[in-house]
Amino acid sequence: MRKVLGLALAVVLAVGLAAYVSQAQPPRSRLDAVRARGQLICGVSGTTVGFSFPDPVSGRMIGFDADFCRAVAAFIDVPSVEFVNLTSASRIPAVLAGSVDVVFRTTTVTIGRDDQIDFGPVTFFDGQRLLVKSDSRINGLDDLNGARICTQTGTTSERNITDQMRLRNFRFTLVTFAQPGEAFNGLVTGRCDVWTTDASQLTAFRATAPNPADFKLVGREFSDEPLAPFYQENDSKWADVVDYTVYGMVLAEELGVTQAIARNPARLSEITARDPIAKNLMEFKGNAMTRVLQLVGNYGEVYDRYFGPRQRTAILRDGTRNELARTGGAISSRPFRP
Amino acid sequence: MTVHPAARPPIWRDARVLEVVAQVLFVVLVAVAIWGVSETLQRSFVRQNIRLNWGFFRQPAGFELTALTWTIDLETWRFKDYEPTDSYAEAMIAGLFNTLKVAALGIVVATALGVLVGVARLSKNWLVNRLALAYVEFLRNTPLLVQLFFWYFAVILQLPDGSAQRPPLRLFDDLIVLTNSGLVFGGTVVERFGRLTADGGLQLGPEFAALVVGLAAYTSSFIAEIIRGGILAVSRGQMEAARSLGLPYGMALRLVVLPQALRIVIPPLGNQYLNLTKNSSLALGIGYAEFLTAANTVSSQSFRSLEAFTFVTLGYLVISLVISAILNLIRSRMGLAAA
Amino acid sequence: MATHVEALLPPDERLTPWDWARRNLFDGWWNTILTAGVAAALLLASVGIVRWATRAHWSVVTDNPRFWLMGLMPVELARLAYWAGGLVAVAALLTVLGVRARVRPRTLVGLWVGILVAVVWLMWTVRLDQIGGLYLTVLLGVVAISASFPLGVLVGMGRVSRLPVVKGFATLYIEFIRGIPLITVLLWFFIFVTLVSGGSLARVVRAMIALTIFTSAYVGEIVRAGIQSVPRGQSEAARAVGLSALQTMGYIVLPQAVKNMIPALVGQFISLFKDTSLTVIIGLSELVGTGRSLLAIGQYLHDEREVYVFLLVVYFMFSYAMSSGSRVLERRLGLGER
Repeated sequence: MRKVLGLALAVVLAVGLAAYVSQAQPPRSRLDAVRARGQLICGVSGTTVGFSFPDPVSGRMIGFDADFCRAVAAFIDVPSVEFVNLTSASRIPAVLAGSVDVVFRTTTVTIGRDDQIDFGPVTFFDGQRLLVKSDSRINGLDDLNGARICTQTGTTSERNITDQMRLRNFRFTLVTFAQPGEAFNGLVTGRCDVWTTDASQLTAFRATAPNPADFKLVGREFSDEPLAPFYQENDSKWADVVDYTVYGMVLAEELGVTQAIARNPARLSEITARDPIAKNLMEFKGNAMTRVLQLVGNYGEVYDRYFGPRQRTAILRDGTRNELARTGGAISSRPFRP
Repeated sequence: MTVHPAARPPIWRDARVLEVVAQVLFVVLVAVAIWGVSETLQRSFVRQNIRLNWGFFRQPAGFELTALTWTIDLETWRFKDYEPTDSYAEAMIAGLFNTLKVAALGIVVATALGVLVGVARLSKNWLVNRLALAYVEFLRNTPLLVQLFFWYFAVILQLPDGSAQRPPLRLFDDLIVLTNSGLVFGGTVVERFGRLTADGGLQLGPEFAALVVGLAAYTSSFIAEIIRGGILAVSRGQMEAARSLGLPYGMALRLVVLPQALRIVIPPLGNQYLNLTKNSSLALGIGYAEFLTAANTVSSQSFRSLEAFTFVTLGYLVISLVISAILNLIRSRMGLAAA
Repeated sequence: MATHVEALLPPDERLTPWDWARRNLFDGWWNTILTAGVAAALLLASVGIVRWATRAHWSVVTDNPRFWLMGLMPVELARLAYWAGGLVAVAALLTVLGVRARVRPRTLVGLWVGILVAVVWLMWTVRLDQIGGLYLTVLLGVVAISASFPLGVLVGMGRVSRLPVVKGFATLYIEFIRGIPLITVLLWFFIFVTLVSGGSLARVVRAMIALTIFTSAYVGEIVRAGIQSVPRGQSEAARAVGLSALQTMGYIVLPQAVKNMIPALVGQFISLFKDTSLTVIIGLSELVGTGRSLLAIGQYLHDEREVYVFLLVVYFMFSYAMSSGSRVLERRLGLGER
């Protein structure tokens, strides 16, 4: 009898629980979830030099992408960021399933991907090129007949190179790796004749080699890779947060508001008094951009921190599309007007 | 004289009734749990705008696989070589064939190694049996994934790359050519992009080689223990009797002990073969395009991860069930109890 | 009449080293050749290994002890973590000594409960997601082992249940899980649980759940074998005495079954400990993940051999300690002596 009673009780509990679980979740924005959690879960590569990589000395994730994660957290005044390492292959499932809030992971905007997820503003304009050993005779795509080609799996690079080779009717062997570092290592050890992916990664990894002169970038860019953050579809409240963080950092660079200025109330009020747009920017959403700029600085500062001319992983910005729109590039913001 | 009907206990103490009630309740409980989960899942799909769509399997894949293989043309049901223009489904079938290839070769190598080490474990030579023990203990006590990383990144990729400074290993008049681009039997050595490689012949790619070596070494340590146990289980009297009949040690082992040990060994051996097949999915870590790696690439290129992984999970289940069925058939043929 | 009996000592079995070598290494020409060959090969191999080990770049290991131990844990929390780790290490040492000195098991259990409380108290401010490296590996292993045992016992009891529905369900569960590789369980389950839970569970917790579900099927199978190894007479006698089915299971069958299950259980738990390494594929930075993110840093880009050899050695030490421990336990419980 006790057994029956116990079982009956269990059934009632289970029904109640199921009813509760299925009732209790009205659709709500990720913004509320992140605020409630008090922590932003940000997907990054974690193994891509320059973009996101661990600094064992400070015990922090650093890099161009990692700084944007911190910026988003500062925008909504959430105290901490958890970095989740994602491979190229696991990044979209992670967002679809909702295990990360936003992904900054050198991801190319494509129409096909946009079916499943939403992209934010482009943070970096990239293009696919080839990296070879400096004594190699490969000078471009046309020399690749019969080559062994390293790239990362689950990337647009994987498809682009396949398309390019098929266009030329070339024989080739594709060797794929999960991480860019492994693919570079494939080139170093001679597993393949060429490593192809976005030029920024090629440049960054080449720069970290013991002797960068052993390798050279060859050929023209043969694809257009605008890299952007992405998040779940149909959540415009959350999309606004990510988008305006990026736009705000770009606008701050245009206006000349740097980290140093944001941290100095006197100079900041001087600028905001003079420039109404700067005032709008800094006071937007309860000083959201002020927090962002105090924490990571404007777009140009973040760029220079990892890819600036004095960095080991320097990537030329002048004359490329990564310049601000007003100086002829393609990095642009929105006017922060009420 | 009247026969009393067997005294029936009251209904709430009747074991038969209780059993039925308990089972009904259990079913209800499970059904409710499944309903609750699927309801939540549905809401989750709606909220995140996910629409399951199995039609994507027919779209062209557009990527090349690291290990080339044949696949099945889903229009004509014929074998053909995989090409990037084939559909996602055909890419995954190509991966499935690669899994079978790895499993078949891995099982052969693992068994050979395992028998060797298992017999060495019983050697009277102290050095030999200690060495075999060290081999078994080390391989069993470290994760297979790390072993695979080790074989691939730390051993095979560090082999000579065929450049002038690090020339390929050429044995028996180029019958065997070894570089970190693979092991080639009976190919012709050609120069390509400043490095010597072998064309044609039988090519074993480095990812494939690392996977087979890693899986075989790992599984052989378990097989060795099974073989040792099997031989020890055959009573000593059998060996002594054979020796006293005048059979030399080797013949006694081969003709008397091993055939009896085989019967004990086969059921657990079959489980190890099954494990090896399942473990081949760890190729995901080193990029060899077997079933799971192909599915992973499909998932990331098509962004249909839930569908692709569901498909691959069911695929492995089918493989396991087929292998188990074959093993059970062998066991029943040999008159062995199912393990 | 008293007769004097001469005490007869057993024959002295001690061998001189020379006799021992004769008997075990140079017994006949075949063995002599074998010994010589193996010794030569061993010598060559160890010379090679020693030569490599002295030239290897061990700085990847020696320069990053905190990173290996706890991953990207913030520096200010690392001190607490050191204390916690130290406590656990001391407790482990005391346990080994205690077992040697045949201290009562209750004392040791008390010690561990105390240490556990202290560790939880110390690490209270640390979030699960901040833990990495060896700490995360150990945490994953310990939690999954402790959780999969009770669940496995339930499944195993279901497997031998007289109720066909319960038995069928347990069998289905066991066969399904055992039919698929752990890595697909992790990948599929990770997406599934995230969808059901709406992303509210920490990644580490989701990995723990997946590992637990996977291992509980194997434990269930071990429990089934253990229960079936207890003679039927035991449960029949218990029922005859008037114990209920559950009491019979709990007081009579399980205690005897557990004793029989220990070797298989320990084997399963060692393999679970090794299997925690697979979580690197879903992006957790446990021991293997830590190694791989170090390999992505410029200066360690080519230190694969050092990193993977180090990882193999660390895992070996832990697993070997566990299996040695279980052997001691088996001997204490007098297993295999009946």
